[in-house]
Amino acid sequence: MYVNTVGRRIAPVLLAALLPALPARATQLMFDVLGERISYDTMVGQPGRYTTALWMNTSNVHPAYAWIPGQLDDIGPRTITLSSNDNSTTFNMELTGVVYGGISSNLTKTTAPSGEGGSAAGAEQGSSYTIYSGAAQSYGTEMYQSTSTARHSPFTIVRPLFNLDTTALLAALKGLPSGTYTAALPLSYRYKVLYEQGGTWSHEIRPLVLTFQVKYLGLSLNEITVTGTGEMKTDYTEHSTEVTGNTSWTVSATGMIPAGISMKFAQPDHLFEMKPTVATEKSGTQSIPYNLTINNTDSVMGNDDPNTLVQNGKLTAGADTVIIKPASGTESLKFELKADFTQGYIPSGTYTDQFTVLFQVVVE
Amino acid sequence: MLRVAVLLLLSVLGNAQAMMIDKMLLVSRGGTDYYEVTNNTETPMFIATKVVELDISAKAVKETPYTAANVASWKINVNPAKFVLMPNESKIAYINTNKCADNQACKRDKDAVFAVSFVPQVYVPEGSEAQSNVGIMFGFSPNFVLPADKPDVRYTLDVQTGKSKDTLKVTNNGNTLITVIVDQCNQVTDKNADCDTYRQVYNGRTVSIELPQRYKKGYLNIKVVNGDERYNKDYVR
Repeated sequence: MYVNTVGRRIAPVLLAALLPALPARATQLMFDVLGERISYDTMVGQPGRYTTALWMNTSNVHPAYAWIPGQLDDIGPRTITLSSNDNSTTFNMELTGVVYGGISSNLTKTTAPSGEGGSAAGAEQGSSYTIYSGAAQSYGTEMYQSTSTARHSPFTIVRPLFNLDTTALLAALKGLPSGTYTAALPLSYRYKVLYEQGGTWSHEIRPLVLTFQVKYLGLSLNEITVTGTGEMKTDYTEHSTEVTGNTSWTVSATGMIPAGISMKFAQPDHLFEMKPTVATEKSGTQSIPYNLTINNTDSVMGNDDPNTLVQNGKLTAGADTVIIKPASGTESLKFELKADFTQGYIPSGTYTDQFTVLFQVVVE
Repeated sequence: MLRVAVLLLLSVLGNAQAMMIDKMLLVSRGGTDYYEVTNNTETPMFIATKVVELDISAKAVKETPYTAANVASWKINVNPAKFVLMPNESKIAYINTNKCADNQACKRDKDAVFAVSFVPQVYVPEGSEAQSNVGIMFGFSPNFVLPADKPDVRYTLDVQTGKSKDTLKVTNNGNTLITVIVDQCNQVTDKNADCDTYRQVYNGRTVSIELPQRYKKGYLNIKVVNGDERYNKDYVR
């Protein structure tokens, strides 16, 4: 069951800015979710995996004679919590690697020296190199080495590699209020470096933050909840001349519902009368007609539709289908559906009735 | 002397009496189209489905219920047509598109629109005691759209100034459903602002969208998409 709260859009927030302990740059993943469709102009597909379209500029990556690309310090599944205002949801993604870009053309790729390289598989694409397998904190089988004794910048930009189930992301968002949902995932990656020819290999660890921004517009009715027992207890009018009874249900609808919802009686020729469950000598076949009314607690009727749906057991003219709209805004509505009767003589017994209403789309 | 009943029961289904459905509008993608129906009550439900074809060409929508008498002209069917949902159980109801003569796909020069109703009834498992005191059952009737073979997306957008609020008049002159989204949220800093809205406008129909409170003359951010969103156009005015 979805949380019945109403949220609104907030200005995009780069949570990376909230992580001052990390001297990292951030690379952002932006999704645009419209109803049940998702688009991501900041995510690009690699074979069998994704990376961000935008690169993160590196800092503190110093010129070197040679270097060995390495894996992320933590790979595998991660649960991401997207938040907007008071609403949040989670989805799972899998970190699989890292892409190094802007590799100097003065560095050539060759096999990493025994004892320094690792088992992480990688592939070169133009001036970038992708580590796409291997254990966390491992190093690649290949290295980049200067064509001379001069030192060169190993790489200038990086971005993470991951798998992401967009269907699961859509499922996680479904039912939430429209808004901009954000999250941040602090990461780090490592590489081995030889700053001087003939020197000693060392390793460097650099942080980066992957931020998420999902602009979500639900475009749907998310949920209708109905509360109320339907138990109709009786009372007496003053001087005990008549019996009264009433019960009510509270109907709440959430989602993007600017046109409101339509409520239709599935059997418009139904007689709205309670009948005895067991016809006794006293009750016979006596029935109790009742009224059915809508009390707009946080809603308005559409198209001048009547609030009184049933009067003394009879469907009111024009009440077979009524439209109920949000009182303000577009995102929620609530109303009370009340059944009541006033009757004279009623033999003891249990009386029941049953009918069905359908919530349907408003065709404007 | 007046004699009264001590207790009358109209319904005792508990606090959550509505079944749930995963979507209220489904535009066919030509493959697997379905609704997911969930019983989140504590009572088993028997769900009966009904299909009504909607003729939306006139202002008053004309309904043609699918019955045994017109089975030869059914354009879609629901599978399964009837099913039982136990408490907290979900099931998939597929919408199948029927073939025309010679097993060929039917030609559509405009969208075909349907209301697919999921009508709950209390299911009494065999051997259990009958519950007679059932009151209102709440079901859903989502719309289903078979898009035109060759979608022709044509429409007009016209901002009209009103006394209290301005409106965007959308006239769909094409042959397929469009969704019009008005998004003014990048114009506001108030997170509670009423800043976006949308409408689905069927072909041949006109809808006036009340513009969000934060609409400012001189700036209006509109997105128009068709059913499969192959047509996706943004306007900033």
